[in-house]
Amino acid sequence: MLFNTIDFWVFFGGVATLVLALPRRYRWLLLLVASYYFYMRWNASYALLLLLSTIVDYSCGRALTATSSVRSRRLILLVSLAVNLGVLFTFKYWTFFHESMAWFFGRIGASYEVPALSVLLPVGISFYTFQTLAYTIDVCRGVQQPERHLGYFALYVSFFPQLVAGPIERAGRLLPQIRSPRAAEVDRIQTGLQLALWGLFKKVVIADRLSIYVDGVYGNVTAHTGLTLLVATYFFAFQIYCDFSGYSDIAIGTARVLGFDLMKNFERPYFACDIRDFWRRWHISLSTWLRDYLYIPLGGNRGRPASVYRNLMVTMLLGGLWHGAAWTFVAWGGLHGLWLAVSRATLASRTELWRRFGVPNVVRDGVRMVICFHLVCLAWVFFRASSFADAFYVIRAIVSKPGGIYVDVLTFGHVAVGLAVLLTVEALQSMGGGTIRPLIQGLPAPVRWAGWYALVLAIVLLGVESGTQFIYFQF
Amino acid sequence: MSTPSNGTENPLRFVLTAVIFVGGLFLVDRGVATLLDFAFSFTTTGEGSGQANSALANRDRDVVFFGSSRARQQFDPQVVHDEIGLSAYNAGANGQGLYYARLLERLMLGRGSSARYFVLQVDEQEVFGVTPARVGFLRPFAREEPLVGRVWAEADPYGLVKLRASGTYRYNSVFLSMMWNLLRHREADEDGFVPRDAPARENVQVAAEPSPRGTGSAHLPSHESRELIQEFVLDARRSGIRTLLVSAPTFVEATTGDGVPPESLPEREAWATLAEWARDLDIPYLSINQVTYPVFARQDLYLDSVHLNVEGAEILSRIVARELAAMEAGERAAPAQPQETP
Repeated sequence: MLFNTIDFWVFFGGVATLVLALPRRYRWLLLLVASYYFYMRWNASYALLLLLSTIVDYSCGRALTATSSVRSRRLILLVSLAVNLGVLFTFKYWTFFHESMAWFFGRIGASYEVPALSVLLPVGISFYTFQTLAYTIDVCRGVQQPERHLGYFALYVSFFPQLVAGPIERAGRLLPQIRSPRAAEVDRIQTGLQLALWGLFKKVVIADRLSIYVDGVYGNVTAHTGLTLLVATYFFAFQIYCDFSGYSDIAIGTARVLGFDLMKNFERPYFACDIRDFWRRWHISLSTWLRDYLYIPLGGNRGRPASVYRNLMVTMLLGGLWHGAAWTFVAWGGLHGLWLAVSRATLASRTELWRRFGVPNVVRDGVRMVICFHLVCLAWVFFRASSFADAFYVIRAIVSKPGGIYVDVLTFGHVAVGLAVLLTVEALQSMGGGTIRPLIQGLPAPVRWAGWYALVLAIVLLGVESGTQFIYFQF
Repeated sequence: MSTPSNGTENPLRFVLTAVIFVGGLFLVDRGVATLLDFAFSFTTTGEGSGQANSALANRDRDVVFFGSSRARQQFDPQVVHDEIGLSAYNAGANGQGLYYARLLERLMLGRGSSARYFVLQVDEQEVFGVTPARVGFLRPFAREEPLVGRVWAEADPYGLVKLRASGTYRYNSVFLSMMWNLLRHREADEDGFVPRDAPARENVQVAAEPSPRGTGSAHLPSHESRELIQEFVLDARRSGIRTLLVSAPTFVEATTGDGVPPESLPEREAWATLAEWARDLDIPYLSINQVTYPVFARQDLYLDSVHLNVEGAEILSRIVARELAAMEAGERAAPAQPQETP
């Protein structure tokens, strides 16, 4: 059930009505049933994996409280890691591992007889696995009290607005909201729906329109000129942003209507002035997860510069692999690791350079923004291309044979309208300290209403209505 | 029971506001839809918008061609006029499948077309399976022709609900194209024919389009396709219009010798099936291919494997014109399999 389908909105409307009507003490049960129904609409049998992850981490959490022995606690944590990562490996990475091994053994002339495994990737497995792992690690570290109520914990793992593509919530944030549900608030319902509407606009008007061009070009890269490939890469940068942030907005907005606050996942990432800033703004729930549960345990910023760069690189390589079982994703992560390491290594000299030239701040930030955007786009080439050969072809073509540009007037028209609205809103958000809510509330009611009507009509008139899957569902 | 509460707002007031908002949205939607209907009626160009208006405006020509780009780029009404003196209009459109053609026909008949012949070009892959692709371009006519809505509902389970709930929804994905073509003030093609002498700048979506070699693994004829063709023919017949079924040439490189495509070729199955359907419906069928017209074994007549260049289109148009002349003279009552090359 995709957020951009009528099915979902009918389902959500029913659930939200019941949530508002039912006594608060039953809310968790209703939401748990709704969440499992939501997941089982995709594939009923894979709900068992969700259940397995829930029971294992609930049990590990409980077991961790029953012992103070460091060794036992480590063993319990190891069980959680083994089960969760084992399931993730089997369902997401086995084929990739198998093919890589077969390729490697083939290269060295050895035989490789391990059977292939043909399984469907469970939707959202990377997200809920990281969410449950975070819980168990936090309990093991003593920063999170274990949840006693299995139902509450099961809802924490399966809460439908963020189940299949995040934000990856921390137990310390979501569990208290499940235990003590909020009273329904008019303002929350209103702002939640408004945010969801904005997310839907980003998804169906911008991302899905861009995908028509991007899929066509990246589906057959050798048939296109460098300039067309460059435009397709820029388009992909906005497609994936609007697709994923659109999803996140709908998740956060619908959760808000149901009485829950989810963490912000995006903060206008293409306004970032350097790559470190970009990662503070892009997929925040994942980047903070990687920081807290991988980068810092690896040593983080501590130690010699070489160790820090190694930590950065390992974190980003694994972050790339988290996205998808393909070497191109690893390369994407590796490039970001490299950008982060170089950014860190050159920070002082760059600051000094800007100071020496006396460039006004606004120009400096603009230049840095453009550079950062292009570094991100270069990495997107590997993320989007179906193979290294395609990725290298795209880069070579952009550099060496720009040629003409393929213009699909209709798609370009839709994209121009969509991006103009997006960038205007984001520029206003930047000027308003991250939100345009005060600006909106300051407008006369007829203007506000006209704005919302325009947004709805834009979705109806310009949106792609085929119910295209969200890109991050495949991760 | 939990009650919606807010320190500053009354929940009842919120519900009332929500109702007023939705009511206002309904009115705005209807108002905008009326404006769009008005604008659309002046749009005569654009694949995704006014092209259908042009076709409907020319519904009274003696001959009207239907079909995909293989009709639009290959049937020259001028040649038909020069050959047999009948006025003609090419209502083909890129991606116009059987559903699209059927709906366009219904709209023409609904407006009282006085045409004498409908020429329906069927792409081979459509014999094995049809989808309501691009039928969305005809949604602006959903109120005029209920069949548009019913067909759209096959492409989208909520299609009818959306069409009923929103007036502007009929212009989804058509809106910008419509405005663009309206503002450009480009004259509509006089006869709908769009000859090509160079390969078209392919739409980047082309990779997602069905293969001309058919999509069915076993190449089983589609019951749905047959029904669509039957309804097309019978509806036309009820209005006194005769139908000519045509399959335009496909260049087949892998031949058994002498330019003859192998028996196992899916296209050959499609041609045989179309011939059978035409026989059942008692209409002529013009199967134009390398077997029936060896001239089309010449690769230089093609822009790609399924589209002819200007020279190829002229040859094809002459063949069709002569078939129409034969129909006019009452010589063709049964499916034709001509062997001669004009």
